[in-house]
Amino acid sequence: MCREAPEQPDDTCRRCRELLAQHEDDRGLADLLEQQHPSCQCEQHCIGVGSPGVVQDNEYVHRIIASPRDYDPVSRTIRVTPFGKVAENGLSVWRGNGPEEDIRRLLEDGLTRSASEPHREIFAICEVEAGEIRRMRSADDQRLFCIYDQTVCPVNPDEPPVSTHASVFLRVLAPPGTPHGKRMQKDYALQLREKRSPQSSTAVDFVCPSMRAQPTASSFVTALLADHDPAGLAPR
Amino acid sequence: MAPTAAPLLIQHPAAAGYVGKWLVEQFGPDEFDEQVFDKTAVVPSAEPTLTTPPDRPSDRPLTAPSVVALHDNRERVKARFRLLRRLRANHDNEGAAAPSPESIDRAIAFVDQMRTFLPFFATVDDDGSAVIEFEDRNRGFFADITFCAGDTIECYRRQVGCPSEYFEGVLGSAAARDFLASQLGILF
Repeated sequence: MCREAPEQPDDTCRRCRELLAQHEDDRGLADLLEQQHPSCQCEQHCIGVGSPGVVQDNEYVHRIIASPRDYDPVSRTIRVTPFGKVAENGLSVWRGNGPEEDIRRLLEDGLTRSASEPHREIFAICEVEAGEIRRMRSADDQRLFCIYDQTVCPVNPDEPPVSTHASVFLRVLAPPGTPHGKRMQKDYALQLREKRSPQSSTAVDFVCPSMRAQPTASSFVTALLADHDPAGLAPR
Repeated sequence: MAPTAAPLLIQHPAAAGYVGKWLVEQFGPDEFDEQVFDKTAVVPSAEPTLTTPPDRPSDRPLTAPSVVALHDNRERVKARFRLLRRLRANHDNEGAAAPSPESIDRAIAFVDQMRTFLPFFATVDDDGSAVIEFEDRNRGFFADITFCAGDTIECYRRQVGCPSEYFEGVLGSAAARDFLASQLGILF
């Protein structure tokens, strides 16, 4: 439900909701958001259809890597180019506190194809704390990214939107189409992919347990991993 | 193809595909690539320059392992571009355009012409343009070349401790070659 923040008794909430709903496929959406609702103004409102509320800093968000162009199987690295979506119509993520059914639907969306297409697969799932993204700053100390509880049309139009979908948008933008703007977009898309702290580079060993420790999202992921772990090598 | 290898669950940073605080889990074998690649064959070197001389049998000790890579990085990236060319529109379920065959062909031709280069990878952007990404994490280096419509390229380079650089122009131009040589270390 769209709720107005007490300090903003105008129709900002409605306008945020309309903008995000009507332009979800518009690659200029990040620009529109910053022009019409600067400084992540829409984060104050719950705007997604059926959303459980605004995305909290301590929530984990997940990004599904499902297109072959996003992932290099030999180096086992995720490529940077797809992160450029943050400067366009947003980087889709799911919220870790969502019910398993939402996660199942989002994974199924990633695997959905027409009969004539080759099969699809989930190459990787990335996880990051929302607060980590929100704390990223530009050189002139501006906040770089906003995270909205935006819901989007599902692949199957007969189904309702996934209520725990969210999107990450870049907000520090130079004039669109300028070389300087493109350089900045790439700078920040790269930073988003590379975000790391000194201790995190050795933290991979607890990646799987940390996901499993979460009461909601992790159980489905655990089951999925078990399906792909016939040798029982995954950490328990 | 039936999976025969152990699952790709990440357990060590060096093999992780771990991207900062984006914690990555991988699922299942990559059949998209198993048709072409030997996954154990080549992992890009961390060395800044990969101008490996031809491997002459006479230069190798007799005790050298007999297992050899099926493809070097150049061939691997070209093969990957050929696979990416087969993707259809909306391959990411987020509205990405189908890869442009012309753009892919120009990227493959470019790879063939490079003499010196850093570790590099193939991908495509949402417009369907081929992109070569160069990355050396040990040096904090990243660059990419996007093969846009016509003969135009967009190049970006970021190196830790230096301001990032961006170039847009005609691929065969002197300005493009200067940028590629000075910022990416690419010679032809």
